[in-house]
Amino acid sequence: MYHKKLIANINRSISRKYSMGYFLLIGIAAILIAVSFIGSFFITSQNQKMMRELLVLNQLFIEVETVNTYVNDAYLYLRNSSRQNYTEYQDSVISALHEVRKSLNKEYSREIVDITCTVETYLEQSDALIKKLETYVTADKTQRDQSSLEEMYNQTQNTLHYINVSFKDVYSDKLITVQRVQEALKLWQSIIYIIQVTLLTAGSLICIIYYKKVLDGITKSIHKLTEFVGKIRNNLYQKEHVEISTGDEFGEFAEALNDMIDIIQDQVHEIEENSHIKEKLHEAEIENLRIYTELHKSQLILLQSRINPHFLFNTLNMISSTARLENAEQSANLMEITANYLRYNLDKLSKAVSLRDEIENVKDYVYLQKCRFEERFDFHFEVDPNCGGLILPCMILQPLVENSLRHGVNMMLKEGTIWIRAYREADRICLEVEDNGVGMEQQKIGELYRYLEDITIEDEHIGLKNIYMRLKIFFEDDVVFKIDSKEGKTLIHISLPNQERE
Amino acid sequence: MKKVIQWTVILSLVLVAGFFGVVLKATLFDREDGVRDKLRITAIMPHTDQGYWSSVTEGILAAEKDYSDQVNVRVELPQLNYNVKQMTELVNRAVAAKVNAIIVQGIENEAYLAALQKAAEAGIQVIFVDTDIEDFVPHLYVGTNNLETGIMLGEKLAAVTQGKAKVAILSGEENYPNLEQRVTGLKKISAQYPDIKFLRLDYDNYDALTVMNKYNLIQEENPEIDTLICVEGTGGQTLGSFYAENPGEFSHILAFDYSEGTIQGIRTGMLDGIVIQDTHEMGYRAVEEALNLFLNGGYSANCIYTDVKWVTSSDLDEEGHYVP
Repeated sequence: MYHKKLIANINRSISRKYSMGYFLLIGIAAILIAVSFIGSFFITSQNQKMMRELLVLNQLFIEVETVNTYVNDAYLYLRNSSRQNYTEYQDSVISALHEVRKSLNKEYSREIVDITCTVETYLEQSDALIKKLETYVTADKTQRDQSSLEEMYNQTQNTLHYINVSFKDVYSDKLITVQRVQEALKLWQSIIYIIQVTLLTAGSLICIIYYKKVLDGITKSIHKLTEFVGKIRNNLYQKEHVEISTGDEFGEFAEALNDMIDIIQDQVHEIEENSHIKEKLHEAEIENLRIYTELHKSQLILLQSRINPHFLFNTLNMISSTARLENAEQSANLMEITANYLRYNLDKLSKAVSLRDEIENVKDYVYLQKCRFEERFDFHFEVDPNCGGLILPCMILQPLVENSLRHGVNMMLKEGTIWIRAYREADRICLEVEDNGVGMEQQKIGELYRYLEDITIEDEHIGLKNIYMRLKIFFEDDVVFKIDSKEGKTLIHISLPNQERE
Repeated sequence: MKKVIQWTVILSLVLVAGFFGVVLKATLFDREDGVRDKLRITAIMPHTDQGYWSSVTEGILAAEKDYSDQVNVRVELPQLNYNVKQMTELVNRAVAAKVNAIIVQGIENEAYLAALQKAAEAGIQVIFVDTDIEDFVPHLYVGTNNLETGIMLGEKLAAVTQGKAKVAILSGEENYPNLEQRVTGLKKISAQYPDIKFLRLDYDNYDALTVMNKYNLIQEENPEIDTLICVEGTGGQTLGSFYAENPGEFSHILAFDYSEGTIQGIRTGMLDGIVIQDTHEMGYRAVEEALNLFLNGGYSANCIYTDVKWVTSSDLDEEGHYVP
C-alpha cells in the first residue's frame, strides 16, 4: 500500500525537488545565454544593416556620378563613345537604384524615396539629352537647335545638383541616425549587461532561496520526526500525530509512522484489555476454586459426620426388626423414622432433591425431636403443595430447623414453636424457618451476613454458610437470603427461582 | 514555492521577450515605414521664425500625424526668409523628386510661378496657402478670405470708434494682393459711417524699424489722426512689443495676426483688438485637400476659406494669455 503510494508520489520526492533546482539553474543559464546571444545578434545585425544601407547608397551615388561624366563628355565633346558608354552605364545606375529600393524595402524613408525619384528624373533627362545629342550630331547644320540642348543639359546638371544635395542630406541624416543608433546600441548594451547581472542575481537568489527552502523542509521534517519519536518514547499512549506537509518522502514517512503508532497503540490497548479480562477470569476461577474447595470441605465434614449415622442406620434397622419381634411398636417406629432420616442424609447428600422430599425429611427430623422433647416444642408446617416440585440441593431446610431448635427455642421449657413455610411469591418460591426463641441482636445479624459473604472466615455457623453457598452455586447466585430477628423471633427467609421438575 | 518559481521563470521570459520584442524595436526601429506608398507632400514655407508660419507648419504636421498611414510631409525652408529664389529651387527639387503635392505660399514671382507651373504640368498638385494665385491652373487656395476680413475689420473699427475716426492704415508690401484686399474691404465701412475717414496709407515692408518710423511719422505729419490700423502682422507685433503701455498718441490701434507682441499689446491696452487668422487650420486643410484629390479625384472647393476671429482683452484669461 505504502509502496504504491510512494511510487504514485514519486513526483513529489526530495530528488525531484533537487532536480527542479538544477532545472532552475539550467533555465536561468539558458535565459542568460539567450539574452547574450539575442542581444549581440541584434546589435551586430543593426550595425550590418546600417552599413549596408550606407554602402548601397554610396554605390548609387558613384554610379550616378560616373554616368554623369559620360553625359558631360557627350555634351561637351560630342563623342559617340561617351554616348555609347552612357547607354551601357545607364543600366548600372538602374541596377544600383533597384538595389537601394530592395535593401531598404519597407523601411523606405522619405529622403531615400525622394533621392531615387530624383535619380529617375536625372536618368529621364539625361536619356533625353543623349538622344537629342544623337539627332543633333546627325542633323543638318541649319537644323541644329543648340539652345534647347543647352537647356536640357542645364536641367540634367540641376537635377544632378539636387541629387548631390539630397545625398549630402541623406548621408548627414544617415550618419546622424548611425550615431543615434550607435548610442542607443551602447545604451542597450549596458541595459543587456544590467539585465544579465539582474537575471544572474535574481536567479542565484531564487536558487539559494529554493535550496534553503528544500533544506529547511528536510531539517524541519527530521526535527519534527525526532521530537515525535522522543514523545512517543516517553508516552506511548499520547494521541498526537506528527504532521509534515512537505509533500515528499518525509510526509509519507510521517504518515506511515503515525499509522504504525496507531496500530501499536491499538494492539497495546487490546493486549491490556485481554490481560484485564484474563486477570478477572483468573480471579473468578480462583473464586470458583475456593468455593468448590469450601463445598467439598463441607461435604467432607458432612460425610465424616455421617459415618456414624450410617453405621447407626444399619444398627437401627436391626434393632427395629428386633423391637417388632418383641412387640415394641413405638420403639420400632422410632427406629424406622430414624433410619429413614439417616438414609435420606446418606443417599441424597450430593444430589438435588425436590422440596417435597426435603419437607418429608424435615418432618422425620421433627418427629424424632418431638419424641425426644415431647410437648416442649411445637412445629408448624405451612407448605403450599404446589411448591413441592421445586428442585434444590439436599439438606437445606433440616439444618435451618436444627439451628432454630439449637440456638432459638432450646432454652425454652415450653411453648417453643418453629414454623416451616414454603409458598409462591410471584415467579419465585420462598422458604422460611421461623422460631419464637431468644432471637439475635442486630450486631449479631450483621456479623452473620458478613460471615455468609466472606468465604475466608470460619466459625460456628458453618452450617448456615454451607446452605447459603450451596444455594448460590445451585441457583447461580439467584438467591435471596434474609435474616430477620429480634427478641422472641428469628426468621430465615430464602427466596429461590421457581425451577420445578416432576 | 513551485508555483512561485514557475511564475518567476515565465515572467523572466516575458520580460526578456518584451525587452527585445517591444522596447528595442520601439527604440532602434523607430523609423518611418512604408512611405513608398504614401502621398509625398513637400511644404515649402517662407520661414518659421514668427508665430504665423510656424502655426501653418504645425497645422501641416498635425494633419500628417492624423493621416500618418497615408501621408508623408517634408517641410522645406529657404536659408533666408522669403528668399524666393531659394524657394524656387526647392520647388524644382521637389519636382525632380516627383513628389505628389507641393504646398506653397502664392508669391507673384515669374521664376517661382514658372517652377510651380512646371510642377503642375508634371502632375504634381500645387496648393496655395495664405496667399492665392487666382489664375493658376489647376487651382486650390486654402486661407483667409481677405476682402471679407477687411470688411469685418471695418465693422470693428466702427464699433470701437463709435463711427467717428480719422484713420491711418499701415500695410506691408505695396501691391501685395492679400493686404490690398484687406484695405479694400476695410475702406468699405466709410459708406456706412461717413465720419470715418481714411487719411493715409503707408507700407512697412515687414520690418520693425519701418513700423516705428511710420508710427512716429504719421503723428508728426498728421496729428489729427486718432486711429491706426495695421493690416499686416508686423505692425501690431512691433507696437505691442515695444510699448509697455499705451502712450496715448492714437486713441485706437487695431491690428492683425496672433503673435506674442499683439497679445501683449491687447494686454497692455496698446491695441484695441486684433484679427487672428486660423493659420493652423490653413496648414491642416491643405494636407487634407491634397489627400482628398489623391483619394477622391477632386478638391472640396477651389477656394477653401479658413476662420478669422476678432480678439480683444475680454478674450484673454486671468493671466493675460490667449487660449484659442
